[in-house]
Amino acid sequence: MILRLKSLGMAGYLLLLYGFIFLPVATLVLFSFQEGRFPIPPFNGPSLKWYQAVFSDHKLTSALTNSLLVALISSAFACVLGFMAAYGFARYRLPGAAAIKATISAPLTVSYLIIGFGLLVSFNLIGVSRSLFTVGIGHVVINTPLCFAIIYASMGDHQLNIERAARDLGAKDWQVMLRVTAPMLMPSIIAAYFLSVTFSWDEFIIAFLLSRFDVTLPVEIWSLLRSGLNPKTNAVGSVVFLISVVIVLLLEFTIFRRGALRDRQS
Amino acid sequence: MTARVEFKNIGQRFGEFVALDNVNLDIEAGQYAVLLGPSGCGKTTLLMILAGFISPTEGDVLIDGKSYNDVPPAKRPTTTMFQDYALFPHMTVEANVMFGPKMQGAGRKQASERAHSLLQMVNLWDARDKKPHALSGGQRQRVALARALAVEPDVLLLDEPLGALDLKLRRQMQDELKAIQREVGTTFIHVTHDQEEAMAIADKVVVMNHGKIEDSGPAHRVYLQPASLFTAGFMGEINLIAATLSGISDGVARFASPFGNIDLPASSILTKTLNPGDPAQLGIRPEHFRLADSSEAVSLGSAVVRNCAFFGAHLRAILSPEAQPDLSLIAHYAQSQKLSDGDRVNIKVERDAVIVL
Repeated sequence: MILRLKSLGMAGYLLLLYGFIFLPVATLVLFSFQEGRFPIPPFNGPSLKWYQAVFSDHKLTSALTNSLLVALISSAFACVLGFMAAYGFARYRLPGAAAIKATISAPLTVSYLIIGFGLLVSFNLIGVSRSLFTVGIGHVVINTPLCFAIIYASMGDHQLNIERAARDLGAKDWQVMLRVTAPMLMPSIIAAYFLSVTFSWDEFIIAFLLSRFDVTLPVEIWSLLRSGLNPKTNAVGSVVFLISVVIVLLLEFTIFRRGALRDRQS
Repeated sequence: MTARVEFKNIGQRFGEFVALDNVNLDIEAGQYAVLLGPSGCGKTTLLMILAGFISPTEGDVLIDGKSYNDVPPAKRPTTTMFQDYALFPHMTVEANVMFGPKMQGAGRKQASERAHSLLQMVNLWDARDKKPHALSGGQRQRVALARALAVEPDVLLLDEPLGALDLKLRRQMQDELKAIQREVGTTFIHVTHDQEEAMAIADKVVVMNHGKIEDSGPAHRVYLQPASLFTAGFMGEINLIAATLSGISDGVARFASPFGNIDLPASSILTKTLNPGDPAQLGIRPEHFRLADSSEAVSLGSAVVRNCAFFGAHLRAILSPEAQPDLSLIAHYAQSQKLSDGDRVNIKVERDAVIVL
């Protein structure tokens, strides 16, 4: 009896917690299907007209493309840089390694506002005008430490002998990295990539500070919001959410499943 | 593809710790040598020095008469087979074996032919498309062997290659290793702490302890006439009896011991310098005890059987000799013998088998 109560209590707690996390999102998605002009109760739908409005809005669709481009490309750079740094720290004894490692990880703890502001000042100083390119650089700055941390955590001594064996068989350093180390770490590299993509995908402050004419989706949504709430903002928010969910699910089903399967077999 | 290996005055220090102390060792081309010793004795360090993963603090490594100090592993005519096999987990068995030839500039076709012949040799051609994680321990070991031999090394270095396998598989694999070594003719240098494994496969057993070579030679010589007390004890169980040399005449050495005077052939003295009055240890292997009397036997008086157990191939008894009751002698008798705890037996030992250290 007491056990039943206890598990009921736990279920209730779980419900509250999930409600707290997901209710705002659920409301957002629900009212994106609103028939009327205001995303407030009562709900009168469902209707897809606001989605139609989103996809026929040229500014929104080009912002969406911009966001995807920036996310995919900047994450690729962040992953390559993060991997190379992780390889260096894990495989070579560097003077002052602890200090360099701390410096590399530092952007994780600094607010995006400061990083964005710093980059803005720097770009002004060297005369680089704001564009999607500078936004991409900003995202490489914030995501490289993340990729480094994820990939570095998955590098252990158990791969050391495998790399030694490759070198012993005649592979050069770059061949070891490219043909042995990177493929071995592929699950964590892909995990780092997708996580970096999701972070870049909905990053606002840096994108806002460093872009000018071509903007990313969060910036475009922000300017939309300034003209007041309407179900169209809900619809575009839902699209952003949906894409994030798809990325996370992709990650879950491709990488983590495969890893779990391999762990079970070995 | 085979070569002679020489270690000349090799010394290796890790900070204060002396891992190897003035090691000199020759291994003939085409020999199967086994470095044997307890953990921490320096055997793996010596192997890693030959492989090139560690450069020695002192001394020279010569392969085929050429010094290889400061030459990186990839540029040496050696290949290492690691203890954990270190297979490439993301590649198929065939790709693993092809890796070496490809890295050394062979074309795809050539590398694949090489992999084909080696995988056939180790009986894994049918498993060529599997990934390492889908293989059993013994199969992984064979893939590692094929991969290492694919680059046609002069010397193959095996770091505890059978350590991860269960006993039965280990015995089977050691026969296979030896057969493959005979087939390819490459010099094999194998590190282990299992003396049975060492004796089963080695042309030359090298016993190491505390960074030094205690003994080296063919298995039967190292086992029956060990050069040191350590070797005697490490190669198998041995009973030691303290004695003093009384004198040598006509090729017979007489020892004074708690069991009275014991006469042994002078050739059983294995340490070179033993003068009358010097203390010595008489070593007797358990399998050299007899129950039947004969003129060839040394008698050590009677004893009480304290503990007797049937071991399948033999009967293992712990004896408390009357002359020295606090000493326990371990004796192996024929499995057909009927002995039980508390029985009184006469201790007889084959005279020629006793060694003096």
